[in-house]
Amino acid sequence: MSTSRYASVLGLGFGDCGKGHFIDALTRRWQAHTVVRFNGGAQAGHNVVTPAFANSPSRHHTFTQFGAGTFVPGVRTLLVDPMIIHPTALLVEAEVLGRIGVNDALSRLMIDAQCRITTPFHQAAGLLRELLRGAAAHGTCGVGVGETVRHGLEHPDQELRYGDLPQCNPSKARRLLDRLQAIRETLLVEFLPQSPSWSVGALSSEFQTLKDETLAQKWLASARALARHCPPGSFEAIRTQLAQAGCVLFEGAQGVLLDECRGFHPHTTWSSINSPAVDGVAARFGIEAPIEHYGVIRTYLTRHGAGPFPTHDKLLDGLLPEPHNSGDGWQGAFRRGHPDTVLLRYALEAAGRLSGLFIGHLDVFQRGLSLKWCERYSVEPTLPQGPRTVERFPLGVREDLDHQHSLTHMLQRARPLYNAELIRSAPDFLERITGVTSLPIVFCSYGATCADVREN
Amino acid sequence: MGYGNYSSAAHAALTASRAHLGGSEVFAQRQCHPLMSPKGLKVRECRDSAEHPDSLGIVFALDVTGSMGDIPRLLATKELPNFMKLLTACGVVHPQLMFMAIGDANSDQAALQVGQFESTAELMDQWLTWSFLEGGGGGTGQESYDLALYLAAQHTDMDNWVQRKKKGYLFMTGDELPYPALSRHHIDALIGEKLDEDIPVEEVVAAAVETYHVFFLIPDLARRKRCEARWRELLGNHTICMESPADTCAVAAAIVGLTEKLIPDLDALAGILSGNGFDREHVGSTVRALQDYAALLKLPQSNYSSSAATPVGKWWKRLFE
Repeated sequence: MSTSRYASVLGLGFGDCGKGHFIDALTRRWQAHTVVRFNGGAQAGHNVVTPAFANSPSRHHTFTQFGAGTFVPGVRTLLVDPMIIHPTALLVEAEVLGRIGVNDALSRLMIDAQCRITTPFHQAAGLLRELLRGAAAHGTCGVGVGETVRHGLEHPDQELRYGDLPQCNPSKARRLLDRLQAIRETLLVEFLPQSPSWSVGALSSEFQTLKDETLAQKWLASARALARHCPPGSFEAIRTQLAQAGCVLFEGAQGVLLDECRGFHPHTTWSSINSPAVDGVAARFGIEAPIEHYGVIRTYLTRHGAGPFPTHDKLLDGLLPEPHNSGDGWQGAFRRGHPDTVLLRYALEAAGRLSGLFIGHLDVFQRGLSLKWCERYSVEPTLPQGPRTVERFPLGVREDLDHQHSLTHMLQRARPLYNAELIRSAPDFLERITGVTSLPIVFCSYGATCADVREN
Repeated sequence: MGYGNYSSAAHAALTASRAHLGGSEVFAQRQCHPLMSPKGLKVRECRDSAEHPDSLGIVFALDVTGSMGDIPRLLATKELPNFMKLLTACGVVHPQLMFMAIGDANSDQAALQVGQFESTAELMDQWLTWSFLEGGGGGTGQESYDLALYLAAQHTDMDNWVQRKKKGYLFMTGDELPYPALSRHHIDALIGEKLDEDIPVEEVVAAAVETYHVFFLIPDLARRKRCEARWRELLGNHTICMESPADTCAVAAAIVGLTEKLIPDLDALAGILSGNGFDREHVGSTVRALQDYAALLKLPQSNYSSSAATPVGKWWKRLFE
């Protein structure tokens, strides 16, 4: 009889919901032994701030591939397919963790041999694609996750998995290098016709990456370094790790509103963000125990990068600090907006079965800030007799991109209609949430660290 | 979500080096590996663990500048991988090894590269692979050994010292002079730490000697005259003149074994080395390099190694005949 507890944390927004913060808090509270990343890739950015304790100062880290429970000594990170691995970024992240006193992150890491991996060529091609979109940018993080998935689908023979990395015999090593060169050449040929016009700047510099014949070998040396520290995890090893008595947390990346099927196309990510996706991963490793799924929201809504955002309020951008999410880099601006029940209802439906909610940033009200409560949108009717307001977005048939496109179109033109009463306090906010969903609100957070998380 | 910094850094580290193609295969790095950059470094820890309850921190700081020619490569590929094994042979049960690469703060882009304390040869090997051999160093006859001494003194934390008041070991190997003083500008640029003033190298040595047995290994006799006198002023008989760089690891392991009194004398050392597959010439040159240091420890003089021409003792002779 297993005494294990399994729980997942899924964002119900456009990302930046506070999953890292809650994973850190749950890891401590439920004494989780393993945090599993199962979707997205190195574009995740889960911020954790630890409270200052005795003589040790508060620490902060943006977790991108390591589990957000890594500050807790001994807690292991397990990265499983379909998460996309960025091997060289993992080494950099381990070093960054080392500088704030977490020296053993790599030794607490296990990576599924089945995980697909990103190379500098995927990363360069992803950046080239986004640069070429110009004003129609989708909002990329520039780490090559989408490109890795796309390339793997189009060229299954060139797909790289983490289990391919360890060096064994020379002929296998040779074939791996050949595969890397094949990826590079495929992408090179694809961009070659457009390249003559790129003489300088970002386009040219990313294109140079595709032209560099020596890069594959160099990258491989570095990626193998990771594989030596952290050999590919076999199915059996992962199954054993997950079956260990105690608590396992599944840390969802991104948010439901960016889901590849349910998000607002094309501003989506190549990743499934819903409870069935977690159940699927767990089932693959033979976990039969039910998984508790929790949805996370902030009091206010945020969006990092391009894409429609009806309740965006420039005033809030100035009022709500975001110390760990800057507007620079590939993603573009970090925007804040009022809570939006249309999107929340949609997210709750798209997320699948949930056991409860976690709500973060309830401390905004303590700072005298009030938020508006968006109840519905005013829309231009598509038919003369069509509705002029919308309260909920219908969930389409899965993988119906036309449906998602029409939702994006509607969202771009929607004007939020707010309740006359402003939200002025945390209890007020919680009460309004209970009007939208009957899910229990399990944990609330009133600050940046695990010490600010309270059971509701 | 929405974070690409580590990936961008990793991407840049690989692609920015395009300008410096060609060169070595072993040291694939073309610039300081991000994991070895001391920027912002707080502390490198050497900790006891269940597996290694009696850890002993040993730092190997290798001069990787041009004057050393192929020696860094030789050490990294042939010698250092065996160092762990040799230490075990010398009775050091729980060594934790950290590797540093020393350049020249005045002319190199990676004046100091710093690994982590590791307890297995495989992990150690990794830091060697990550090291970037600059081949620079600039004409002044001086290298930034002071940076390695400073880093060991100020930025390492070893359980052997904290828990047991037992010093660790710092081996520097090179063929140049130290700078007369540690430059606060270099420390700021390299680690990002503000010092009030430059620190004379004597003081930096004194600080390192508080928690480390510090040694300077000169790789061969031809390189002696460049730097031996100055190092003897600073470290006395902790300046070791070797006959061949190939002896570096044997000499270092022997020093730990002798100092820790795990090896009673030089004759016992010769027995251990030959028992571990060292040929007669190699054993002889290792033992000869250690004569002065053995005298310092008041160990009996070995009876076979007084001159290079006649490296023959009684039992020694029997062993190889």
